[in-house]
Amino acid sequence: MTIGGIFLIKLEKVSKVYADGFQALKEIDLIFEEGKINVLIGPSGCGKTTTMKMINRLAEHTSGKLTIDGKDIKEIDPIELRRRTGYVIQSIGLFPHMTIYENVASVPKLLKWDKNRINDKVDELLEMVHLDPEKYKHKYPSELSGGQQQRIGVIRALAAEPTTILMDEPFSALDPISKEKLQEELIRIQKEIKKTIIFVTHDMDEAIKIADEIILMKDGVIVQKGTPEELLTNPANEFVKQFIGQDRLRNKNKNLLPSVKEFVQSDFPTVTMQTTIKDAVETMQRNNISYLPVLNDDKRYIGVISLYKALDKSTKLVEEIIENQSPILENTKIRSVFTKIEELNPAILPVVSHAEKYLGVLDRHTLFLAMSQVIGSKSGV
Amino acid sequence: MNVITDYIEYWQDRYDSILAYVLQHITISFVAIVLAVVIIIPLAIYMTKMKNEKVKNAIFSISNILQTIPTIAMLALMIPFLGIGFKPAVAALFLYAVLPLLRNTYSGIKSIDQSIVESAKGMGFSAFQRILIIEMPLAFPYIMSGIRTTSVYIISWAELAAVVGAGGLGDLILAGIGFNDKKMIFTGTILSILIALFLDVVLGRVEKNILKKHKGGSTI
Ligand SMILES: Nc1ncnc2c1ncn2[C@@H]1O[C@H](COP(=O)(O)OP(=O)(O)O)[C@@H](O)[C@H]1O
Ligand SMILES: [Mg+2]
Repeated sequence: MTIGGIFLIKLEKVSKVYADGFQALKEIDLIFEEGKINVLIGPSGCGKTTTMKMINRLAEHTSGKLTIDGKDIKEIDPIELRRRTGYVIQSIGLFPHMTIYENVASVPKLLKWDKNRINDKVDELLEMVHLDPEKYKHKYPSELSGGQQQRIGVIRALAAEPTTILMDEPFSALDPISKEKLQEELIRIQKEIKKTIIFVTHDMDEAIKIADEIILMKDGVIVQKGTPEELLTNPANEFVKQFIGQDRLRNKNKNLLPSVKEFVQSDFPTVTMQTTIKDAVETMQRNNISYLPVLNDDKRYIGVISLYKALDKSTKLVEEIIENQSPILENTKIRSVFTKIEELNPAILPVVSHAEKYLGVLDRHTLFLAMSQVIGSKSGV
Repeated sequence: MNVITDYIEYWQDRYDSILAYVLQHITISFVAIVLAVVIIIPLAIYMTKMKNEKVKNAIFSISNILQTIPTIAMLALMIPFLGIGFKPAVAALFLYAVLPLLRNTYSGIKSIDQSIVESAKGMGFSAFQRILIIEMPLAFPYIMSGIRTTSVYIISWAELAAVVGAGGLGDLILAGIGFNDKKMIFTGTILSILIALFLDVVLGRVEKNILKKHKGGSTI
């Protein structure tokens, strides 16, 4: 969360008093985390848009300190700042008199990129959101559906390769199906681009779905900041509980993909370094398995042995045929486990605690059963 | 038959002087229109950014009042300041062009969806780039229709330039009245109408060609 200790965007006791005397933000302390989707959420009028607009100086803060990469925002030229900060708004704001190409190319053109580079970038971005460049480049915004228009809105914000992207309720005017699709696309795109995204919404489902960090606001102050899991499992106060809603709190397991911890098979057989090969082979055959985790005397995980090697070698002790295989931490998200399975294709996945204590294994069969249960209960809602 | 051959003969006789009147007429109108476009359109754009409502309202009131001054009176009013001839004629026509151009340009720009302008601002367009790349093209149909109406009016009002000695087709009509010569009156009138129509068609073409380049542009 603190890559090299650098915080990209930092607010210290930042307040905003509008010209009419209304105080929209009250001494906010906030750090937007680099490379993550930071979601600002809260009831209408709580100051989400104001917070966002201070970051590209569409609104100026009236006291406190706002820094970007350690530099005071007041010392950054607003035009230059905006050109390197993507901006997407609810009403999309595509330029109706320009083609899709011209829309996406707007900021690169302002930055005087050369033509080939702009061309390549536009094609690349259109392909990223699955719109055929040859088919769509020369169309006008009015010829596109709402969902397609907002896709263009999003890639237009990405065109000049900004480090930060501001999105103010970008999907809230879309129909539920397009909305769902765009949320999924945003998650997918973010995996590729890893930008710092600041995303405003008033929709808790949306926040839970896309956020790495949720910042819940009320009346110009931050009530709670944390991962969706943290908010759901540990709401700071009554307001947070209310805003999240009883349904979501009750069904939080359905909202969240569970962590590994819930699928650990703790009675899976194990061996120690001193176990003889003969015993190990016997254990495997008895349980009809071809791998065993190896532990040391104080139940720490060491590695695995395979039936294949155990039968092949004329060795005596387990110690001699241990294979290295990194274990999984207990709080790993299931999603990353899937990637790991895909990459390594291991037969068993040993799970350890933070204190490196062996907890059990995750075998694909239990995982599969558990996942089908979760999915089954989810679609049953 | 007699009337027509007579009239053709008249044209053959007076061809040179008619052409001179036409050129004078076009020059006066053209200078007034160009001046108005160059001065009033930027003023109107500036007014769309103006925060001071009082100044804005004052400018609109003045341009409204200008419009209500009778043409003869307007020309007469110019004489003490600018004397007689070309200058007072152009000045009077210019003042008539203020309101239609101001109103069309102003409302054209104000009618643009604010989220588009806000988007441009948030993306890092400078104020000048916003006007040039976003607002002007989007307000273009409004601005162009202001220019077209104004042009047609100015060409017809330019008939009265003759009153302050600026010449033009009005001279032909005044002379016609003096000599009780229907051919002169007819020629002065019909030529001014033709010029106005011609200009309207040309401007219409220009508008269409520019709009074709960005067909997604707002339409009225
Ligand atoms: N330009 C402004 N002048 C005065 N008050 C404003 C202005 N913009 C927003 N506000 C007020 O500040 C508060 C926060 O607004 P905003 O940040 O837009 O809220 P949100 O995006 O959370 O709905 C609201 O009460 C709003 O009325
Ligand atoms: Mg808002």
